[in-house]
Amino acid sequence: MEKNTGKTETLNYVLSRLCSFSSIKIGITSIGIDGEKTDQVTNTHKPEITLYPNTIFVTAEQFYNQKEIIANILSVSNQNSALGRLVTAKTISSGKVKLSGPGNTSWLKNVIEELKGFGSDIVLVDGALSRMSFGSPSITDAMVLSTGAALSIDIKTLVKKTAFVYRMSQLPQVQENLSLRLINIEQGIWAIDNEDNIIDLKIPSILMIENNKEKIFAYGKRIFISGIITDKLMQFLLAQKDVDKIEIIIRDFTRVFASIENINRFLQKQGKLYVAQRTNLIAITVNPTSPSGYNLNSEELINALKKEIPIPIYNIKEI
Amino acid sequence: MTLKQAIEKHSGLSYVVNQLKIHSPMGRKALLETKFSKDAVCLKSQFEIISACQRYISTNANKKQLGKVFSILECIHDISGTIKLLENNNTLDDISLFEIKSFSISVSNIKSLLFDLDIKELIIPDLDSVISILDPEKLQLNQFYIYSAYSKELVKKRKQWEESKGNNNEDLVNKLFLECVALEDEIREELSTKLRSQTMILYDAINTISKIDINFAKAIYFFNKRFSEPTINNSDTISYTKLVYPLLYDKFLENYRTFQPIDISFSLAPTLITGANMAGKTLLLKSISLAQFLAQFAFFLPCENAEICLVENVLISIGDNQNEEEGLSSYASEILLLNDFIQKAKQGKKYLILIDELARTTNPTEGVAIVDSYLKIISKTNSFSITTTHYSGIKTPCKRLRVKGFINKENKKMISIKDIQGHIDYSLIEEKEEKVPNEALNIASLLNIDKELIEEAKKLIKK
Repeated sequence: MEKNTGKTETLNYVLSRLCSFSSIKIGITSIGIDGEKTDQVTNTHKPEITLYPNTIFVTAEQFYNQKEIIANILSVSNQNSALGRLVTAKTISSGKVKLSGPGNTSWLKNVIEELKGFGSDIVLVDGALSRMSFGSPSITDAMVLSTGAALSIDIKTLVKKTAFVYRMSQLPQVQENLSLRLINIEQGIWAIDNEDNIIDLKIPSILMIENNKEKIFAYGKRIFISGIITDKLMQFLLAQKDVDKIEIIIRDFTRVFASIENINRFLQKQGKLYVAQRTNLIAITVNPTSPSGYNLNSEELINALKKEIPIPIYNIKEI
Repeated sequence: MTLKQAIEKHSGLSYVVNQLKIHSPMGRKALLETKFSKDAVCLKSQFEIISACQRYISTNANKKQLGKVFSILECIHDISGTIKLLENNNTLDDISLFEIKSFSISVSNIKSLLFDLDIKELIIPDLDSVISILDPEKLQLNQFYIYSAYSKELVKKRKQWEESKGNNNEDLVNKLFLECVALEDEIREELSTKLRSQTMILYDAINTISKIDINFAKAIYFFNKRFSEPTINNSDTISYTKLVYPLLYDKFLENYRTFQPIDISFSLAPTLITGANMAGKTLLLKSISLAQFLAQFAFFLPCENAEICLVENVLISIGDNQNEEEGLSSYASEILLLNDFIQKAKQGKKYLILIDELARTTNPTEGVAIVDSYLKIISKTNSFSITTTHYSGIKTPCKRLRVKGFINKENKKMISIKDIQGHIDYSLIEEKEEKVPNEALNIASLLNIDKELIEEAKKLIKK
């Protein structure tokens, strides 16, 4: 959810556990470097990923040449990422490597396929909540969320923010026949009428919502928004007369960019929020230490989170 | 002029080029870099390679082999950048070394798949010497790292590094790792030095692979589309039997319509073509220019039979007003282009000059004079020229051809604009008269133009 919430430690933990099952072949990559910019700027401690022998990884040229591991190159991409072409290699020794993978979701999808093609039984993707679309269910099967003191050193706020993301991940999914049709829509705002027809409202972006007020409900109050939902949109919806009749469908929960308050008010007014595709959030990891060194009481934190979130929650410092 | 430059200007050419299924990046690059050739010997030998490729793919067994070659070509990388690095005395990193090895293995796989391809120009160089440098374990795998097999010292150091990891002494681990890296770097330098002596053969391989890719793509396309090998002559005549324009031909075929191919033959005497509107005169000029370009870029031609004569360049004016942006009037831009053609032709080199409705942008009295004078000037040069016109009364001696036009004149009223093409005979006949056919009003009425306009015009003509 934030830098330094222990995403990398979580990944290292998962890797170290998986490697004890010697029969499982692991493939691993990361999203492109954009998601890691903050680390480059603030220069906070960013551990490299520790890999074990026989792991197939994908990283960019620049990081490949800095690796501290012996690895056998299997392929090199034609396409360039921000840090050069992507190298797919199989580890021979154990050691450390920095990962930076594809810069867009469709490329990531191909990389995952390639890793499976080289024999990986399971593929791990090092993501970032700021670019959560990479964790969208059309790409990955399951997601682990990392939270911690870096997000807020106030337990209450931390729990509130984390619980909100969890709640969004639990938004109900539309029926399957609609879901299958919606996930292929790449852009725009669409109405779904009573017969489940999907109609393009020809509103190019929700930024244009003010100028297209009369258009949006022309075919009823069920609306599919292929992009992100923002505060501006929520305020527009909240200002409508019968909010309780409005149904908003988003691609998946990673598209929620509106504030907790606005989403809550919308839901409290009986507005409906659905996703076209549900994300399988399987666990949450917590890092009680903030980058500045501040330590939260981890027991208190985890208990507070467990009250709100009914999936496994782990303290990465204790696993 | 390269093929890349030519396809930017000629959509018909770009269509044919894009139909070729080129599989490798170096093949695509080499194809676009093809030069407009004026060398008959060179073109003939290129045509012969394409024919030989067609003979090769005539057996099913060979076709199967070739399918495998194509899938390798699909994945092959262009390593010319890496070879440049090598030539500039750089030490290559593992990724570059991998690329060279991967390329060389792919090439050697293609070589063994095409073992009985007996075309001198397409013989793939043996890259075993390159592979052996990068494959100390002799595994022939498409993988690379600094193998321990390169140095006993490296084996020892890597082992020490591996053993140090358990001791919780990070400084030692780091120190040993850096020592490993230093040894690896020495090996990279050695490998780079060895590979530097192989750059010629690697370039040769890239070159041959491109040729294989391009020539088989051509062979297959020309076979499927029944393109034929042109004969190049020195007798200053150009003639085509059943020439088509692929861009439209394919579209017509898709819509189950028939496309009428054209026979035409012309020599250095200027050719003047007349015919009704919509009778395909412009398309004829486009087809002739396309055929000339294709031939001189070493393509077969979309016709049954072709005899061509090589020219310096093809000069075309079909009124697409390229000078619009310069603010020139349509007359000014047409006449400036004409001037450019005349100046070029006067210098004595052989051009193919194709002009659609010359002097169409001005009044008919002066227009006719311009056409007449142009034909007079051009007949004194060494260039081929085909000019279309709607003007009657052109006096200059020249070869006169007319598009036959409407087949059944009685039923003209029954024809609609949609099926008009079925009622026109596009073939060319010799014309003795200076008068041109008057079909403009008939066609206008087919196009549902305001009746009053047509009737008024007819009255005026009768007067």
